Amino acid sequence: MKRRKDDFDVIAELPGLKRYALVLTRDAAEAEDLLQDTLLKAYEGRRKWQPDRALRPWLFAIMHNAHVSRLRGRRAEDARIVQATQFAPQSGAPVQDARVQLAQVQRAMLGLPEEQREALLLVAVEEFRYQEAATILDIPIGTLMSRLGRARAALREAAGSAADETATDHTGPGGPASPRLRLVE
Amino acid sequence: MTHPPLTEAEIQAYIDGELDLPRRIEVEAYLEANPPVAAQVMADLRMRDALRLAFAEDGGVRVASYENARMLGRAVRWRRLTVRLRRVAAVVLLVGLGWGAQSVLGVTRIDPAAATIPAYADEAGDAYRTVLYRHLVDPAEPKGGMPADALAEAPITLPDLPEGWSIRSIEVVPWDGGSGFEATIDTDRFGLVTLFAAASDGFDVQQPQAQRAKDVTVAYWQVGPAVYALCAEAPAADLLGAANTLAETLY
Repeated sequence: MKRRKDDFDVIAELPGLKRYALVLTRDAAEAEDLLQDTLLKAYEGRRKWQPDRALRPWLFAIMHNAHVSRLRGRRAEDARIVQATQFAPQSGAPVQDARVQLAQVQRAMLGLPEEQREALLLVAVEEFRYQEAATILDIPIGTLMSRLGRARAALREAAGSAADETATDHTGPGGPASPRLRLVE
Repeated sequence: MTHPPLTEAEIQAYIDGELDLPRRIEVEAYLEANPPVAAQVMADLRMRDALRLAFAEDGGVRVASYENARMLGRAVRWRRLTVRLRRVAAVVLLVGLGWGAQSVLGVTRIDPAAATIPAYADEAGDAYRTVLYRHLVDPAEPKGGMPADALAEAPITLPDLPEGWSIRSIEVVPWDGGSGFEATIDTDRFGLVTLFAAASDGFDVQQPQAQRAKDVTVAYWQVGPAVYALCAEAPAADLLGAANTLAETLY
């Protein structure tokens, strides 16, 4: 039987899911375990999936929940050392400035608290809409946005020591105004 | 030239493409007039793009994950198909009536001595007797059924058929585990046979086995979540050989 290219192609979602797993676990082997776990949980829960729902957010939400329940199982391992270099791009000449910068941004991102780095990955890398990402993480949109804001501020700060300090005076233009959310849809 | 001050949240929504066009223009006008904030936005955009590029490298996915993903994809497509089929209630009802006929006719069930036969194989045997009965009453039956391309949507792979076998009809049939497909096939060796295929809840690989009950033989096997049952009026050894040939084409 021929293989159909359609919206329900789980294999096409594997790279994105693997990225999410890496950002959550910060460990290549753990990430692969989490990916397996997610696929099996999705298979077990396949009857709960409604065909008119998008597959992608559903899978990411399962991974989020799988990760949370795995964490609950072993809080002791909290102090995991960030080994971002383990899966940061390394091939090619390390002298290449652009590649070094990429690795630096990625390492800074992986150094963020979990709730910030997963929010940033879902929105900035995986390009989920705010509403989708908030649903995946099971948090209000406002919470998602403040996590994103803190994540970006931290990344800017990490990059800031090297770059010009042009923007630091203006992180809150108009002062600490209460965030007015004007979202599309 | 006064623009209302923007909040951090709005700038962020701009970066993430959450704003509608009129609001984007407002934000861009504001940024144009406030280079330091614009520089901050560019820094955020640069970091976003850097992250995308950094993470674009394949982290490496184990073969097992691909297999699991393929299995899940099939399950998901199967689910979509069955939900769609449930909406076509009339079709299922008609098939259900045909299915129920065997109990009215008092057709004998598979020999209780062979109690180990899986439910799907047992049901497939009963369904085969129904097909034989319909064929006896009207030699043109069974005919029609669903178009062959509809099967392309199903997560079930049908085995390649040997020379001299041609599909006469394919129908959706209910069984304990949901819905399955029953193909009625004309064969040169065994006459009219049926091949039942369905997605089960289990996951197993079982080589074909044959069970004979009265005049009907059922050869059944499982590949992953898919179960198959080939039914014919034939000696068990002969049908088992045919089932092995079919099963081999599934790998």
